[in-house]
Amino acid sequence: MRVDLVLGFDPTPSEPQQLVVLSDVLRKVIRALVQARSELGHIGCTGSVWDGPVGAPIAALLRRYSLQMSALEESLVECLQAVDSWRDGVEERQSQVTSIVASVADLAGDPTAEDRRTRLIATAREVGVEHDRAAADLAAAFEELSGAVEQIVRADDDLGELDRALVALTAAIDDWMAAEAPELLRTAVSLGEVAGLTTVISELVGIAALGRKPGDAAGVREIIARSPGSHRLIRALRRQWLEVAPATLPEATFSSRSSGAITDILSGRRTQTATSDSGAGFSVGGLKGSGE
Amino acid sequence: MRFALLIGSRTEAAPVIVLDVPPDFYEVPLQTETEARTAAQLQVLEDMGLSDTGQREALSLYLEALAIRLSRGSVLGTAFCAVSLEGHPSTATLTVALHATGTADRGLAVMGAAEAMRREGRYASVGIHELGVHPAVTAIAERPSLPGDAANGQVGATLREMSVLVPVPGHEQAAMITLSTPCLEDWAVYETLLLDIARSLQVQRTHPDFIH
Repeated sequence: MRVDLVLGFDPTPSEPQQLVVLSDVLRKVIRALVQARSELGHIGCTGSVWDGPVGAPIAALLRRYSLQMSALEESLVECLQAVDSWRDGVEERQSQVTSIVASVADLAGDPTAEDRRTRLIATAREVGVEHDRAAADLAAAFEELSGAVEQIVRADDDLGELDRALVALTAAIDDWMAAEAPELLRTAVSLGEVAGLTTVISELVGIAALGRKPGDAAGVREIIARSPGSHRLIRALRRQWLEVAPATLPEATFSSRSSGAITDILSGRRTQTATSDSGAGFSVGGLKGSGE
Repeated sequence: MRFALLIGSRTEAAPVIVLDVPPDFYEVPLQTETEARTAAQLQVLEDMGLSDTGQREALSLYLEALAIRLSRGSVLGTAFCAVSLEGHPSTATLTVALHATGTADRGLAVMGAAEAMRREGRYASVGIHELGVHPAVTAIAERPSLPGDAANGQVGATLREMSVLVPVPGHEQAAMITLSTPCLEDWAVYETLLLDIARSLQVQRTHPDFIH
């Protein structure tokens, strides 16, 4: 039954489906904001690359954005609450109006029911006033949201500051690379080479067959040349050791694919070290710097 | 096992960085004193339970040759494991260096190192991570199993390696740890392991000689 045809007006106009869509969109935006704000808030904490003199100005600016986002988030939450409360109110008011409309329709053609019809229509108008008041509250929440967005737009000056901080950071990184990168990359290559040379041990133990004679490789030839027993080492490196591989190998203590398990193993061992010194069954120390 | 790396000059108060490494790894003995090094080499042979005389001799010679090779250069330590991982043999090596970063700003060192490693082009991927309280760079590369293999035309296995650079808090130094393995099927396990080792980095005031 169409309300406006029976009453001559619709005291509670609303589109419930559109409200559901609006509510969902607001929830998604709030979730995204919370995540972004928490990530921005984390910037500059210990362990972050922004935790240092060069990154700190950028972290400070980003944390300021985090505060602005917090204000925006607050307004959005208020909007969401207003929309939800509006939805609940609309349902109640529309149900009241439906019942009024049914009663007015029942009175149709009854000349003695004029007073009752007038009272019912007056009640419908009161519901309409309540509906308008609730709509004003909803509009106020969105006004506030609009104000929060406006404030962020006005804070555009910060972007210039951020831009300058990023340019300074890029320059600092370039300077650092010019001074330090060649040596860093040499160290990285050197580590890779030594890792390759250490892998030969796995071949000698018989658990890796890398498909070539290690003694023919340049890096190993250099090692052989410096070895006090070079002729025996050459012979050893030309042999295949797979047939004397250990029948059983110890199960890896780090075989669990869960990072937490490895951390537990490590932290357990650390505790053991603190309480029982080096008697815990694993060696301690040994690698010393070259500055002796 | 704990890798203890001395920062700066060798004095009682010198800080050391300590890395926790699972006991599966055998450290290649690099002691400068011959007697201590030889004793440690014998211990490795014992711990590995090798019984074949030829194999023991081969490994002993190789460990000594490797120690001589590493007595110069920036690499401070190397270790290897030979284990059963989910029912199959598996091996990996762990190599550690201390690198001067020229800055105590860990963020700058990490961002600079990451950019330098990206630009170098050798790495398949380079990333910046937060490992507990440490910002770090990780870089993954694949290469032939031995230096020089590609040059002499031999086709060997592929080694996949991951390097992690972790600046040492309060010092203009970074630990660079590389894990390398030919066992690509176990990569996920080794990758997690390396990140855990890097995360364990601590600075202690104790001199390594006094840790014992």
